[in-house]
Amino acid sequence: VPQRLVVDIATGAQTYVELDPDEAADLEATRADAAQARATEEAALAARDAARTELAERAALSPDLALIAKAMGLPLDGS
Amino acid sequence: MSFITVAPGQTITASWGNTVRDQLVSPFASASARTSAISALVEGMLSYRSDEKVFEGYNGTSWLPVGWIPIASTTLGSAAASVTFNSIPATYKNLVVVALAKSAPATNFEDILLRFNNDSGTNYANINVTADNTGGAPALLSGSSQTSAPILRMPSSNLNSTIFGGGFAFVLGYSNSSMSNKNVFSLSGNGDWGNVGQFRMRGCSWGAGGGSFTASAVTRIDLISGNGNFVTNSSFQLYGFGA
Repeated sequence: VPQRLVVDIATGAQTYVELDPDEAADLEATRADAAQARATEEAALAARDAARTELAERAALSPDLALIAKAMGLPLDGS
Repeated sequence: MSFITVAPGQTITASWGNTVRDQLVSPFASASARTSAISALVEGMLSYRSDEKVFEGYNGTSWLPVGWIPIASTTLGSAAASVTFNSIPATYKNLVVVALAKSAPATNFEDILLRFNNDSGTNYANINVTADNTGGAPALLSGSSQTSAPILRMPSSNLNSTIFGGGFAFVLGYSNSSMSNKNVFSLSGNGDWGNVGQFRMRGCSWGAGGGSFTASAVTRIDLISGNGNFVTNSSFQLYGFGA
């Protein structure tokens, strides 16, 4: 059973308590929500990096595209 | 009060001695002991209270804490999924949350999720600046309508077992009961040389993303491991500043 440490500042008590079923369900729901948000962020990051890599590869084959990308301030080193 | 400079041949008088006393940091067991001991307060006086482990300065009206004031501190003696700071006093204007932690799952990094006043509604939004040493440029990411704020990043068990990480987060205006939102800003992460390193700069707002905009002070903070447990020896501190 997951447990949490409760630090009661008013009394100074520090107590480990096992999560009750409602708290355990909330813990899992909270983690799932955060994991979904993190996956969305990481997918966006991967997509951006892939787009930059593709741009760099195309620019290597096309001097004109390289000039346009440079003028727009877009990275051409795959970063 | 003139500032005392000791000259050769200085005659020690009661007035001179008392002036020197008032320009030093005076230790007291408690505020009441200080009140009993000092008959004439002078603006700018400094004292130390051993009951609260805090330096305080007199501003001409009242004694105020100086610097970051320790509110609570804990180091896990056994693994836990979360840590709750309860009954946070409204003594200060702002808080600093410090975490030096590690999570148990066999991953590289996990987030420490922050929750205020046990509010599990979709009332948290965050903006996240990332820097990883595993390739890719720093990125700006964001999320909203979340049920917690991924405010700090810590290493997990794929990194060396003795590597801990984390960071600190400023909670601005936590004790202000007339503000409907609370903003948090943090720096966190860890570098594991030759393997993977991640750093994060984050901003989070509670109550601003679809929230009820109910003005309230923060009296409880939960720090939740985003995956698995915080391992033994993970440590967490709470400081207050601004009176």
